[in-house]
Amino acid sequence: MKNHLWHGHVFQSHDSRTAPVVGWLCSATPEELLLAAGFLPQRLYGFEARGEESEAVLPTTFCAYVHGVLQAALTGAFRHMAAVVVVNSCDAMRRLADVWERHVKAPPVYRLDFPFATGPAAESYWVDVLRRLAAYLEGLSGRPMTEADLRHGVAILNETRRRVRALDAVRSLPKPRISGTDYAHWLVKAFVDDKKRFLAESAALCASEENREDESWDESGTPPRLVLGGCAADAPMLVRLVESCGTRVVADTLCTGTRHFDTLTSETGDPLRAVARRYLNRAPCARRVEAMGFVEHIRAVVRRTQADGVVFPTLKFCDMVRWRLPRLSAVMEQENIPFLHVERDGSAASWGQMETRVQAFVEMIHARGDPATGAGKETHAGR
Amino acid sequence: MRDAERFLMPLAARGLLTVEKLRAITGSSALDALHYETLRLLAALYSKKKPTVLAGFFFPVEMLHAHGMTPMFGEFVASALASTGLEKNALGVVDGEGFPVESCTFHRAAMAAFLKGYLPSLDAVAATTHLCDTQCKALEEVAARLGVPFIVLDVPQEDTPEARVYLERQIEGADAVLSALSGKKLGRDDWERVFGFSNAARDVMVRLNQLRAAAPAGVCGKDVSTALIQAQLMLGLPQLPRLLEYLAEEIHRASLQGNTGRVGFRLVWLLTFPYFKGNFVPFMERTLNLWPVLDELTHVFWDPLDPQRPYESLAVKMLQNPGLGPVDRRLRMVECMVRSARPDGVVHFSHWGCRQGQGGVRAVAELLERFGVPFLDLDGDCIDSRSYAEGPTRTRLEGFVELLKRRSGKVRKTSLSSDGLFAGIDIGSMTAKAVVVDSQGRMVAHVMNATGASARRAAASLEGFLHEVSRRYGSVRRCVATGYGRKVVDFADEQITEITCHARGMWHLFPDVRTIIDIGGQDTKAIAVNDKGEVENFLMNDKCAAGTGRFLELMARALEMDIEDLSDLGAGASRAVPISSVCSVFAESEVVSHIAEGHPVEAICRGICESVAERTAALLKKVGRRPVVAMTGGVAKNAGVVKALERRLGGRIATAPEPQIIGALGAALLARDGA
Repeated sequence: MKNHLWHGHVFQSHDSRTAPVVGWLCSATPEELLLAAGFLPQRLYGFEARGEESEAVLPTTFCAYVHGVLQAALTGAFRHMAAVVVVNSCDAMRRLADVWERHVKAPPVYRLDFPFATGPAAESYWVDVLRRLAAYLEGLSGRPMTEADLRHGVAILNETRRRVRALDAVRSLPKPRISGTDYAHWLVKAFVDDKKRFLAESAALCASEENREDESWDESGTPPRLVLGGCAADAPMLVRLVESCGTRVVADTLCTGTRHFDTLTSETGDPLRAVARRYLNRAPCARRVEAMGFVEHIRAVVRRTQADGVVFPTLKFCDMVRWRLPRLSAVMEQENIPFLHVERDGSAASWGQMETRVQAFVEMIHARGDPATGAGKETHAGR
Repeated sequence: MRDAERFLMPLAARGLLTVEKLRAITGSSALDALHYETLRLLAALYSKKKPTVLAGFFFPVEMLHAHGMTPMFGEFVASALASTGLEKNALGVVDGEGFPVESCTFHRAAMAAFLKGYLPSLDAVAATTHLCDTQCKALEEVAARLGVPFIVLDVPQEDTPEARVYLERQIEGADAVLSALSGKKLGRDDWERVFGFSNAARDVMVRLNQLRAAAPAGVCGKDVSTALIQAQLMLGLPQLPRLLEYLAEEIHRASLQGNTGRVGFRLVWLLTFPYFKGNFVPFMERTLNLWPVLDELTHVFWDPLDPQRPYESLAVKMLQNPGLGPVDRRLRMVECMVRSARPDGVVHFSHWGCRQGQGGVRAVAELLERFGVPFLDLDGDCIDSRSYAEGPTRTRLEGFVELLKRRSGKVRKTSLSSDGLFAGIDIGSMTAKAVVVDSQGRMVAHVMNATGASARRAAASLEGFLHEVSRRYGSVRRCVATGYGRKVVDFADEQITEITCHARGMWHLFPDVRTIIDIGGQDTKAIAVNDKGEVENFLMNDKCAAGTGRFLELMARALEMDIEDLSDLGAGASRAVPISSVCSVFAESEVVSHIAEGHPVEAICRGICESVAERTAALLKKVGRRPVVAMTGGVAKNAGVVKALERRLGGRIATAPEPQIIGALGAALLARDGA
């Protein structure tokens, strides 16, 4: 077993005896198909650092996530992979695929055209797109993908989703055994590691949690409970920073976080159609044509977890999420949910600035909750 | 919302309409007539006699005309705002609402028009998902705030049978929504009528593009492009084919009259044009004689529409858009335009916020290099006049003209007699320099002053210096001015950009040099030169200050030290604290946090130097680095940056002993060459 330390906490284990890896970027990539074709799906996770190589081929006006992945690709970080699936997520991802085809020798990139819209026409199209992806993967692996393979892939993915959601429930408890930071590390494992290994390693933690008795809310002295939202990002880094300011991240709405695991794929009927439906009909991201759905999801998560506020870091140059921001912040204000937007430019940049803002936000929340100020928590919309 | 402003746009539209009507009647120019028709549609949007739809530029407008609706593109609202100078104030409102300043101003301005109350009430908003993320997002937000139906066509990235079916079904659905608004159910006759006009217009557009491609410089420019872009709003209207015919006749006549006496250059223009008031196009066309004969947005990429299969053929038209899918499709279009127009050069106007366009620049540059066609990637903004940097834009365009002139042999050759003295004046943003050389190109005298607040005063002081030199060593025969302040040097015989001058000066000192880095106060340039010291290609940093002398200055200020100290400390440090942000504002805060975290100052200094080196190395990669690499400009004196860059490039960089006067030296040598 060989471990490569690529970037910060994100390690990838690659072993020639295990299945070959297919990398992916966008949460709309149907991992079920990658598994069914016999590949190890691995998200290109935690790459946010711009570099000389990426800046030479893509303008600075592209987000740090796209630059980070490209920089890693150009310097050979994904050479061991059989392919990388790039979804038509946004202009930046489309152009990333172009540059990848021209300047990255290995692995090859596969463009996946995920619809913006929903409904029957979008579903039929998406099923066809997935059929072509399946055919591509069959060609890549050199063996046919059977219905049983796909059902198996669906079963593993669903189990992974249930497990992540169980862990998510644990971290949102009033007195959880795991912090948001611990949880984020499990998340990364679910994204980049072998799913079976993730399931095996996380089993014990979940079992011990099941035996715990319900605890009552005790508000005195508990740190503020926050929801983390925003652009695709390195969740462990962000959660660690937000929690280091004396808070607890009890939920997130990130596509690089819990939202990726939000909906199960139906295990009855045609499995390919079931997979297609799962990806079309989940909580919408900022890209989908459904502004309110994106905002609603965040509001629902705040309500469910009785959180004290939302921290929403966005990446500079991310048009998709940024265009939703005025609507989102208006709704948060309407609902009296404390909301902090911070703009970032990648992994290493501007942490100090962000820390100060989060700290000020926490102070503000404390002031709101302080009975002396007259703004008691009972007025809080989240409660 | 201020009521007075609510009437501004309709008033402006009406006012312009009257002017254009008069012009259209009296002048009978086809361009005026087409512009008049566009304004008539804009006015119809306000008069509201018919249902109105605000749409994205790529929405199939034929369907809206078939329903008898008045369509308007959000992008046209933006350019109308920009051409009247109303955009500055309006964009401020959008920025204040929290919409992203990094995104496309065409769509931010459309949103601004709504927020400022310039838009009339609308019956629907329509968008598409292809080519531009912001279009769909902005229009969805406008529709939601107006509370009107939002029609969106999700356009797949590939033209496959399944994609056609998907889009066809959506167009059918959109037709049903429009029917509910117009009260009209479209029949075969409607499609035949509208498609008939659209196809007729398309045929003339194809012919027009052939005429444009063949016309000499000066006949077709941005005006023709704009008229043809506007014509796309009218596809399906009966008057369009006739107006385009007139335009074709005019271009044909003008081309027959032949050369307008202008020795100009013909360009293929990629992406779109600037529309803000006081933009550089008149200067580019009339002064520099650079004429965009063909452009990306007026390229006819679609097949004629078939009224027997209306939804399908509209779907096919959308899926044929060269901007969809891999950049290779766009490259095929560029190739097609270049083959038909055989231009002197290609310009990509990299509209700030257009990731679709900018993301393809590298691929376009590589294609044109293969074809041996000079290429300029020009940064700017089409709408926001606040983002216009006149000096840098002119320098890039003039540098490009110098390159085109050299390639076409339109540069005066060195005469046999070059006796006497020759002067070069370089008025930079920070310092003003003069160099005098003799007939052998040997430096006789030089001087360097601070530019100060007035470039004119700096030039006057250098003129005094030249008088002094003349008195002492003999008369100065010719003088060339360069640098951002070159225009104010009225005693110079010629003005040449610092790009050409730095190349000439460096080649004089290092005859083997092939790649030159020039980092000055305002910008960074990477210049490729040939074995004669002539500019083959050049690139400049984008609007952002990262990687420039200005960046170093800001960082030095954050560290409360001089640039010289920053340089020395950076050069001496054994390790670097990385500065990873590209934005000067973010980087400054990064430096501040590093200080707070207690990192040693020298490591931070080295990190800053590394950051400049990284951005410079990226620029060198783009221009295609060939040895020998040499560095000029003020930052070449910064040992920290030079060392960091040498580490990155894995080789030595030649630096001029007095890097700041190289531009002036080059100018003096060019004065001698041109004597």
